[in-house]
Amino acid sequence: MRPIIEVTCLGKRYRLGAFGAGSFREEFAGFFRRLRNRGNEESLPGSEPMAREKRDLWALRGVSFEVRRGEIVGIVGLNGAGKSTLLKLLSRITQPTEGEIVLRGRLASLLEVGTGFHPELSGRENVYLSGAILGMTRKEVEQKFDQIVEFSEIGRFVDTPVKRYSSGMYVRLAFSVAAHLEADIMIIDEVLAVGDYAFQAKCIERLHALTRVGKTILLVSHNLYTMQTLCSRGILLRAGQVQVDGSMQRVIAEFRKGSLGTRKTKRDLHGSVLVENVAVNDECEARIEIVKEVELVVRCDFVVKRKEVLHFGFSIKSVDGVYVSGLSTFVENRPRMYEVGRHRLTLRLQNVNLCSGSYKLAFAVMNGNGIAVHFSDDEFGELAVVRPFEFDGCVGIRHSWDRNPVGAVANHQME
Amino acid sequence: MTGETDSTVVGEIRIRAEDKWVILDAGALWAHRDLLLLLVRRDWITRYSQTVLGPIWFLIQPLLTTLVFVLIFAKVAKISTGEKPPMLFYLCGMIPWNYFAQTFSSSSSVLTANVALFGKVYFPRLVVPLAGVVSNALMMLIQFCLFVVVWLVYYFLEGAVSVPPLGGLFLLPLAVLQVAALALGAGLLMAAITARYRDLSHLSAFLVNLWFYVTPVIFPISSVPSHLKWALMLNPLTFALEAFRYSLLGVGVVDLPMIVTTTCATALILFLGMVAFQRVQGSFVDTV
Repeated sequence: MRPIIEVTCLGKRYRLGAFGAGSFREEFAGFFRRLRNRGNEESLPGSEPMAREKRDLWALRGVSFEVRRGEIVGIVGLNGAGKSTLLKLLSRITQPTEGEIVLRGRLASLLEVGTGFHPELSGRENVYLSGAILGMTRKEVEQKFDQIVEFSEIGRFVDTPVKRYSSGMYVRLAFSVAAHLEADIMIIDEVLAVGDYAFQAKCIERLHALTRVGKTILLVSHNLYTMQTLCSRGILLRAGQVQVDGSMQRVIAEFRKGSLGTRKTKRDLHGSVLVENVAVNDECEARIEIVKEVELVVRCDFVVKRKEVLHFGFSIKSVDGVYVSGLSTFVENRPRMYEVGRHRLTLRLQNVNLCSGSYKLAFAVMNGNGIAVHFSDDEFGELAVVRPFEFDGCVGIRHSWDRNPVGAVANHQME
Repeated sequence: MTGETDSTVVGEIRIRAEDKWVILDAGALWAHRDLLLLLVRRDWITRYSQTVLGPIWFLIQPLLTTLVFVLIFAKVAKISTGEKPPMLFYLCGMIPWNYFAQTFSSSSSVLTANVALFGKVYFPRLVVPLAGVVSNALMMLIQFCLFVVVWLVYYFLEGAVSVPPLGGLFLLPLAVLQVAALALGAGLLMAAITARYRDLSHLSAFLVNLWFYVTPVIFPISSVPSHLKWALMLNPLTFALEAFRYSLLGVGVVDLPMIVTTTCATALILFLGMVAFQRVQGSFVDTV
């Protein structure tokens, strides 16, 4: 059986710089130049290609892969790696600059929740409209209408204009329409992150159900856990190219290895405190690698020029934006008066048990009111944790599993 | 699952860079006819939602405009409307003109007004301007009813009008189609141009205003000095206006050469509009 999606040498170029003033003239000039150079487009006059190349940005280039019917492929990559562009090309929102995509089946793309919803229309009308916009026929929507409403849990509000809905209801109804699409290929971008926890679980369950009936799904999400449980296969994009195409496990491992460039920037908002140095574990490097649960020691040398109360803050964020932890003497209400002179602050973090991945460290000095007088940009330090995949999320919690049988029933079952 | 059976029906879809020259994918449009009707419905519901008078505004608007016309053009400026009462004369002209103006403006803003939607999901973009053509046609129908009511008032109370030659009625559907095609074509052309050069969107409203004055809405062709008539004859909308007056009021100039040239001009504009629109819509969302 031929693959349901075939992508060959796909490329998408964006022109940087808007079509602003002067572009009229430029375009006319370009048009006449093209007329003169008809047939030998490659040999455009000297300066032209250079200027062009500078403005051009290839969001994707030379991307090729195939997807077989029934596969669930997760697309992973940092922001700007070309994930969204790939989804847009696959769902025909924009045209490729080069290459080809062959789709052998009906495709539905869910790049946002509530596509085509209109606030003035009732829930019922929106289900029909949004369904049609996403590619369902009226008959299909009619058949599934009750299911959709039931799934969304909006009940008797179905005939109320959606502008009166709570944001939760709105999102649930919108997702329900999407979840009942009848397409062979579904392209899903981040839309899983909707609703409360129970509804999210329901959505994921629905995706599982879709895959059981043989739908082909392409999924982009920042939630690596979801990706790992749902997707059999992953594609890692980096700088517009396919870096890894293989099992989701391998893709995630490779993705987590990826490091960010580090940048040391400090900002003084106030002249009263001069931060000379902030170091983690006394390393000079901004980037620290750890392989297991560790103790982190943050040391800050600073000079106080005016006697005042100071507070300190420290935070850890994962590269995909999860705020792992923020600690500060202000929140803990432990003010301290600092005399003029040189000081050293030491912060000890015990049992830092982070999952594999890259984390950004930030440091701040605050005045007595908790207003930052000095803060490092996110990238004052970077923590790269490389370790076996022992748990998911950001932080490992000390734990134990108690799995002893209760009473004799369990014993009986064992036999 | 119905999805399974569908998948065998749907053939291959090839997405390539060079698809710009496909002018009309009629099959895809037909497949989205439900969407078109739902968009028309949305237009109607949202246009006057939360207004007290609701759809009555569809009547009040043309009525008020006509009254203003009667006051300004007939009473103050004293522009002759021939032997027909100004009220009826204007109402009759407003039917095709409003249809044209509204369809033109809704089509010409279709790309910029739907950026958010077009950036998130694909369906044949032409469905949206076509929905505008249909929903504005419904509005025209209401105005037509208004015209009939006013006509009956004049017929029975004042005896100022007589029943027009019934043979002229066959011109009406032709004129409506022509206005629709012209407005769609010119609107799409404008949409394509403004997608590229946003500055020109300011020109669009001005263009409609200008067009109004070279269209015989508030004056009969016969009142135009003969050395200026060519300007009216160049305007493909003139035919529709005259056809409406001829079939509804029994006045107006319609002849075969006019029908032929108008049809050709309209077809050309529609073709250009479709080509330009098709070329722009493929990568329009990149330039926003």
